[in-house]
Amino acid sequence: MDVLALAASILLARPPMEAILSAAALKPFAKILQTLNKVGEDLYIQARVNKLVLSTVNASRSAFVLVTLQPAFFDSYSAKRNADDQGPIRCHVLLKPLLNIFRAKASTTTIESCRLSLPTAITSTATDQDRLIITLHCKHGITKTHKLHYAPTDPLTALYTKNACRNKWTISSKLSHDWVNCFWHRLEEITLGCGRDYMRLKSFSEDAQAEDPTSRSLQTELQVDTNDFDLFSVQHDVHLTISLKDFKTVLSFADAMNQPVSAYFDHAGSPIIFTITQPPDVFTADFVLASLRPPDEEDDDLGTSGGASMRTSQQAIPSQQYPTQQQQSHPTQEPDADDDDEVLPSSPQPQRRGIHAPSTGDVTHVSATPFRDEEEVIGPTPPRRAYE
Amino acid sequence: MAQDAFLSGRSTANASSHFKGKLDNVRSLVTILKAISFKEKANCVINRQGIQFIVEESKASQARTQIRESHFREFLFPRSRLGSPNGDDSGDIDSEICFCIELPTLLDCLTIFGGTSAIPYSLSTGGNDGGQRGHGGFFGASQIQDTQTGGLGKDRDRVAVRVICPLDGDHLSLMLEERGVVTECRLTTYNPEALTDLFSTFAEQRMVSKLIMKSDWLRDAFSELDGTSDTITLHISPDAPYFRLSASSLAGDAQMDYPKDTDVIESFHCLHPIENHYQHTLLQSCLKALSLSSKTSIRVNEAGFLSMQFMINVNEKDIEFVEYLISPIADWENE
Repeated sequence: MDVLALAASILLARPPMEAILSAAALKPFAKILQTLNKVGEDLYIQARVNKLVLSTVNASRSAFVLVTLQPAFFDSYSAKRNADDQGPIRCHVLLKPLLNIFRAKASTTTIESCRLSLPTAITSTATDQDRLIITLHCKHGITKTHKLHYAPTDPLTALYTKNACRNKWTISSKLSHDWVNCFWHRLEEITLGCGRDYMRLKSFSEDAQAEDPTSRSLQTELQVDTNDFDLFSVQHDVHLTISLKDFKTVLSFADAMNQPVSAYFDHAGSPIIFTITQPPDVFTADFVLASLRPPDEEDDDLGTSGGASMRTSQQAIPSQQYPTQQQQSHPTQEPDADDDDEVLPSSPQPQRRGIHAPSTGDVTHVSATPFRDEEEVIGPTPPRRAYE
Repeated sequence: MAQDAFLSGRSTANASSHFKGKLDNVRSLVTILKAISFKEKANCVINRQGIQFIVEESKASQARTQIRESHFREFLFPRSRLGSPNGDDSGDIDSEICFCIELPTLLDCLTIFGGTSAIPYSLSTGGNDGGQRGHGGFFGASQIQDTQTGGLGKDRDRVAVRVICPLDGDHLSLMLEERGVVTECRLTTYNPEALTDLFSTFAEQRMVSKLIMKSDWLRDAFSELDGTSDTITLHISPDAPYFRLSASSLAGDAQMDYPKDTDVIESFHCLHPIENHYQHTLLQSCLKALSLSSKTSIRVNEAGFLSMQFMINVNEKDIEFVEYLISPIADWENE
């Protein structure tokens, strides 16, 4: 037994995943982690043979970020399939402690190289099992080793196809980075209004829908000249309402990376995808943000009018928590049931359609079961207020 | 300065029974007090050597700092004890004023004019480690500082302080003067707290290892350690890995190795390998002092007690030390 294990350890001496980052790549890497941390709490890692995929999703599952790091991003990158040939290595770690390692002000200036590795049971000692090992080689021969616990998990992916979107635009981050600065800092949502020849950013609040004009809060609108765009191709009028915080995250990431930001979208209620890419083939970051479904369309979809506002339904929420709503909304749940199979599992915000797969076109990723159980996912999300 | 005459005029009223000290710049006092202000109350001891402050945390760690007599512009400790005005010299060698004082209140009084910037002097002069940190905020800060202290502006923003205290330590009077504006503060004192004499206990045991390292590297190490870890382990040995800091937390383990003979570790002495465990919370209380300092001397004795001495450049020429003494977790194996 021991001999066998030894033989195996020699064969598999190389860890299943090993990536070495140079000092120059550390800053963008830290920025990527910071950006992911603004959206979610967990970092899902997929070590594929030809790329490292990092992703996260927010608690309400309305925003999903997927960063693909190509081998060119690293000094060296190698990954092999799982020992039992179950496909690429997949695991998740908490973002906060990971970020803490790279956050220290001096770390980006004193680190000479950084090695990330995921050992397996065979290649490592008992204490190193299920750890993401980060070795920082600093100046003056100082070595810092961090071993973070990880949990094996199924990959978390959203279903979206950028190419199937009818509308897209691309703009330099130099022009887009201050778009949101003029909006009230506590504003939660923003409406992107696009048409053939215009683009407007407008503050969105539920109060504005109310009949009583005195309850309306401050409205802000920003008009962007379509000539500013590198590419602007919008087929019809679209008004997408998305979270301002997530939108800010996208714009500040593009600004930090100094790369243009591209948007792909279809219609209100379907997700908008922002992409920031560093050519040639260094990394790609996709931000998939759910957009708010307009109230009128909601009615159409459901074929009911009165029940629509109560469609918060919380299908997946244990009935003891929201018994009343569960009952009331029951008849209107059915139309959404099919939808839910495609969206990220158990999207808790039925007002948003969630991250949704188009019926046609090639799907880049398949959906999978989330690592956490349903109750945990749903629990902390408050039921969303419906339009009355 | 006319105001000075005013100050001294007031304080000479009953010179014999009061301690009087004058600092040209209150900043040095503020800096060292900030370095130990992790607790509300501090014991203050005034004797012929200077003014000393001691703070204790759960009888397991202590911080001590002092401004030496030589750093004062004026330092007048009454030659005789209270009640024996013309007593013999031998009697008052050990005489000292001892009381307990609230640190936040004292700091509030001393910074009443503001202006005592939070930027420690060592950082504001910039480049104390070969420019490795010479970026961003620190550069900006150093430029501002240079213009403030340069030329004639040097004395302008300086706040002088006169400390007056009766021999029984009944109260503490502070007179602060900035550009002719004088503020007088009178602070109530408390009876001194009974402290364990950790410092002399520490000195009784043989020193096993001693090293001096750059403070900013140590600070980075502490900031990288996860806040959820309960204990921090210090491993010092004459051979590799020489100096190792490690901690485990909910998220995982961290370990940092520092080889000797580098720019980071200036001197390294170790008799035999030692490994001791310390409470993270106790170590955290020294973070303020650590971030103000430029160099740190780390000593560990046979019993595992850890002494960290922080060298703080309080102004252009003066250096003050803040010393922390932390007891190890005894009986680690049984934890």
